[in-house]
Amino acid sequence: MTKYITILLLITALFWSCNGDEENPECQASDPDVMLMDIRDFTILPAYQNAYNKIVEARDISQDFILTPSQDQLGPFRNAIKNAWLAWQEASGFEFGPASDVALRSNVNTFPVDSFGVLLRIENQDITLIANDLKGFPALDLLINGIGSTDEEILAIYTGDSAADYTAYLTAVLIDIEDRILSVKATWEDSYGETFPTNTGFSTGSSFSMYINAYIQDWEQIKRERIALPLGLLTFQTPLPNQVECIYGAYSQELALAHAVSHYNIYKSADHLGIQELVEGVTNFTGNNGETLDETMVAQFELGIANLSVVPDPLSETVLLDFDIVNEAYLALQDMVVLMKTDMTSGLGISINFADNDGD
Amino acid sequence: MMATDFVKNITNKLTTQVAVFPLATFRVVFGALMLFSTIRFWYYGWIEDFYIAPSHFFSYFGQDWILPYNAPFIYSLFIIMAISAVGIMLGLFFRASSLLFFLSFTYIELIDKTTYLNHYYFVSLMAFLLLFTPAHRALSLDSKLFPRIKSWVVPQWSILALQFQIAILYFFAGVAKLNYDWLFKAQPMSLWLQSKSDFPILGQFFVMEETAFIFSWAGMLFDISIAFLLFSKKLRPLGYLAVVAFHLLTWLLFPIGVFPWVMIGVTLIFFSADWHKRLWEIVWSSRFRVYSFGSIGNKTASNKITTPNYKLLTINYGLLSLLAIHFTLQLLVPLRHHLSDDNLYWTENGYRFSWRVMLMEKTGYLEFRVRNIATQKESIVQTGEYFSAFQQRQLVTQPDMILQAANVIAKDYENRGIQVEVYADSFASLNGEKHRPFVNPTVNLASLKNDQKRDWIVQYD
Repeated sequence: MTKYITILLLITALFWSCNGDEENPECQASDPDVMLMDIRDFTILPAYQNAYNKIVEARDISQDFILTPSQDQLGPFRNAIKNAWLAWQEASGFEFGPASDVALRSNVNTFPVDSFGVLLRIENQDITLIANDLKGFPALDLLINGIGSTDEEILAIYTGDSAADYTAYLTAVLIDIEDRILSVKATWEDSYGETFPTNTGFSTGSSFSMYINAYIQDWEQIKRERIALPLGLLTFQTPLPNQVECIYGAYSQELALAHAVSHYNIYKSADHLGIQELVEGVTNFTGNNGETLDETMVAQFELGIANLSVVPDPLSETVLLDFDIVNEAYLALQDMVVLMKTDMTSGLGISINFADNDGD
Repeated sequence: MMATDFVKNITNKLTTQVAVFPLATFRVVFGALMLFSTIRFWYYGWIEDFYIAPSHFFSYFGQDWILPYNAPFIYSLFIIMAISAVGIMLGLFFRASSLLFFLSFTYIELIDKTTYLNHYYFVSLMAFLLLFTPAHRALSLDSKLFPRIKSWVVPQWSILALQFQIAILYFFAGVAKLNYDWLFKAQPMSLWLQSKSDFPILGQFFVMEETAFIFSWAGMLFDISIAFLLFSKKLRPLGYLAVVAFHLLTWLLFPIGVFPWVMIGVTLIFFSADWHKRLWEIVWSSRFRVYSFGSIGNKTASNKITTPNYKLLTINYGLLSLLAIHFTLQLLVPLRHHLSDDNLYWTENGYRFSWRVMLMEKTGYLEFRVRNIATQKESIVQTGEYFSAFQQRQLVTQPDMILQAANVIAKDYENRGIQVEVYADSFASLNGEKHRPFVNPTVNLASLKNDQKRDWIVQYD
């Protein structure tokens, strides 16, 4: 009896010594997971790199605009901002680890912008950017598209008496976005990028669990914040056109579509390993016509993207004029959430949460 | 005549005096585990997360009866829990300690269904039974402080009650596994093991389909038979080895907290008095030379106690009747789902308090929709404004919680002067099968106060 117990205790000690002790090098999973390495190298890092490059480009171009605020400079500057904003949509879904530590998503893309607050702070020459709705891409939208009703009015501000206050604020917002993306990118290239592929498995706190939870949560934001909210689905069918992502530049639909498409791309991960390979391993699921879970998800992605792509911009007007076309997009996005939250998570053995707690 | 003989016989058996050692070990182990578990709960910040941060709770007592709570009160209960666990461990003011532990622990558990775990229920039951046992009569501070209570013997029932409660847990947990999915599809075991491919050394075996079947069947056989093995003197060492192996494996594979350690600890109660006596002698580094005992339940002459400390405990018929009622309920409550025709796993009508431990994998999606009765306009509810992430995750698959949540939402709108109907658009997936519609989306959930009949759940066929 004692002998058996000793043996058992020794075996336990062997496993125990490594249970949850990720700091100890001997206890890190023997091999970094190949799929996690692919996800890091071909999905997450390129997305941050691209978002960073685009915001740096926008800031470069902003210098020209600030120097000579003219119609000729305004166009390219607006384009650069739009490209950076579109690039951000592809990096928005990784809000765990380094990004969630610094609340990157809320810092760079909280909408709608508090326009009154921004203008008040410009007037007071206050560029501390303390609140998330005073900065980020939506604040840039205000500063280049929203502070006048025509281009002439906007340019007049940037050539007028308080031009310096406006450009100071504009530059502060650009730098804030750039710095924050850079710091998260740097952590991914350094320490976090090293531990990410070694935190294997699917239990709460594992890399897969965090990655997929963040992915689902971000998809839900397309559905809720970007579509349902302005359409009035959360407010007894009273549309809230001002709640769209990009109210002044009027390309909210384009951003939402880019966001949805990026999720589909993340799912497929082109030639590299990603969520699709995991989902292909789910065997217990049989669709209504015998489809696999992967086939069902691919079809749903395509439906969601198709329905979203026919919604015309400006979204703030479409939500008032054509409820049905926006609602169709909403419903398709929602059906995707159902697949993600029920079939995908149970198939992969991932629970929908970030925090730990006991089960039985 | 026969009947009275039978009762007399049983009473005699239950009141036979046996050595206190198993009970003393149990007291120490249980107290220590409860102390650890309380500290762990606090350390993880769960007191705040589960009992203070949420603005609504899911009561067991209907919609409106919420147990009083506030931060100082909740923290006081946890302090009482920790101190009384120490009291149980040391056998200090044992009755008061075990009563306080039982009350504080059970109160906390009753606040919110969200946190229901079979092992919490089990702890409450153990504390309840321990409360009536004379586990403090020896090897305790009480027996030093109050020598007149000191006794080396306790009535047989005090040990048997704890053993029987443990046996009920295992046996019903085993019976619950006798279902088609568990035995013939190895579900949800297969789903769970699929995600363990990274497990050191054994990971490659866990993902094999055969392993899921072996684990499913072995788990079922273990649960059903373990109590019998532990009751048998001959098979007990093997049984205990199985207990240790089984619970260690579950501890390594699944996030089930301290439960494995609780079971490994409390099942020691099945060992004989002699075994426990030796254990105490090793720990104490001294011998209890005053007498020797036969093993529990062994009606040999050596069981007749003739020690200086012998003290006859009077037979308390009231207490024995209470225990009889308790165990009758314990045998009936887990079977109550037979009163309805529902698919138990789908509607969960009678799922809790029935030892259905790690039995299914259920995931869900749910969104509440309110309809303004005056304007007939609808609006999606941001569930996160009412419930914590943990509560939301639990409620999406548990019908009675869905109903309570719907009523919380309706009441909130009513307080703001809007009369609403509440609907749920929801889907759930059971054991990895494709999601199906869950709540009937055309039923106004706020109109349902009593959920005895769960016909508002879409049938699972």
